Amino acid sequence: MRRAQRRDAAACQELVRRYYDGVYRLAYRFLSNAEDSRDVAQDTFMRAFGAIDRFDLSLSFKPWIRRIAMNRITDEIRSRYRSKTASLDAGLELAGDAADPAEGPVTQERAERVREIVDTIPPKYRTVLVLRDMDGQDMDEIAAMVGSPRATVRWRLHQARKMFKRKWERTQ
Amino acid sequence: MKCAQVEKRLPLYAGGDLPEDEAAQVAKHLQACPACRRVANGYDAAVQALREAGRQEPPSGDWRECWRAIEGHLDDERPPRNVISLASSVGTRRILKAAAIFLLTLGIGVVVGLSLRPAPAQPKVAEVQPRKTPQQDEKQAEKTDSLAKKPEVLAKREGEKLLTIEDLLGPGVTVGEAQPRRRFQPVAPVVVTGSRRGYYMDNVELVGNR
Repeated sequence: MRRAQRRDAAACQELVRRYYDGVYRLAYRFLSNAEDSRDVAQDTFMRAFGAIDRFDLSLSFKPWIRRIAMNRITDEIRSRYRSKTASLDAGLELAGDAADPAEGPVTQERAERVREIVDTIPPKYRTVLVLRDMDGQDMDEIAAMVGSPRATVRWRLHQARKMFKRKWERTQ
Repeated sequence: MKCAQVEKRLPLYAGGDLPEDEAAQVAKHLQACPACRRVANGYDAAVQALREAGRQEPPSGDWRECWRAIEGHLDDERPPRNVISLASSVGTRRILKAAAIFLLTLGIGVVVGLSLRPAPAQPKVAEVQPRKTPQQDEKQAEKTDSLAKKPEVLAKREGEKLLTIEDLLGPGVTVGEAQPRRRFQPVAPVVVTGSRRGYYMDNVELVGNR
């Protein structure tokens, strides 16, 4: 990390190699689009290297980079949320990009429906819902990633599940 | 625990996010309450669907491609970060937005306030009236005399009661005794004149327009 703070190219490359996949997958969870996720991941690392002087060496790099990624993803999903067609695009691309041939069509279709509903939930609730229920993060990790107190995360998760359930039941 | 208390906890209970003691109380209630159990089943199904969808692994990304894109920019990353984070931080954007709205509102308020403010009173300058001719004085006296003969002309209707000019001016004021018009000399008897625009006493407006 010290070498990366001195802009040592090899050290920075090593950080990208080690953490890129996690950042990319995190972005993909929210965006369901390979190209957007690549852009977000790349932007995340550029921001991280721009601020690496201020990185506290006593902390771990992973939560730090994930938090930067989460900020960038939040910006992205906010702008998508404002766009009426976002959820439709995301739903369609999920089928194209993430289709696992081993999965049955029913599961895939359900996943698409879930994704479409999730995309209609307001971003601050959606973030917590996806991180907890789709990505399996625990409450403390989520609180650190979104930069909110644990109680706020709990409340948002509570609200997000209520919203999701209401919409999910309507599609059943 | 009552149904309402249980229902409030069900969204977190479904995902296993309640503290153990609360979860135990909810579970106990659910065993005995079919209505709450139905709601709980709905939450279970919703969380289950989310988890299933989450199990679809996102595809892996290629770190080399990312590295190639950013490698050349390592040295110019310092200043842009501040700019980017300032512009994209949600909190900062909210503060900037609120400040802009506040300033805009303040500006509009000032403009509207200034436009609605009554014009500053012009200092009264004692006018030097041209000396009236005896004929003019006589004419004025006739005019006020005729008003005095008909006090009801000056009366104002308020509800059912007819107010006399004494009611309006108060006691002790003699109405209608014609005197030569003397501006700036407010001594009784007061000369009262009337017009469509209001009532005047010694050239001082007493009441508003009719």
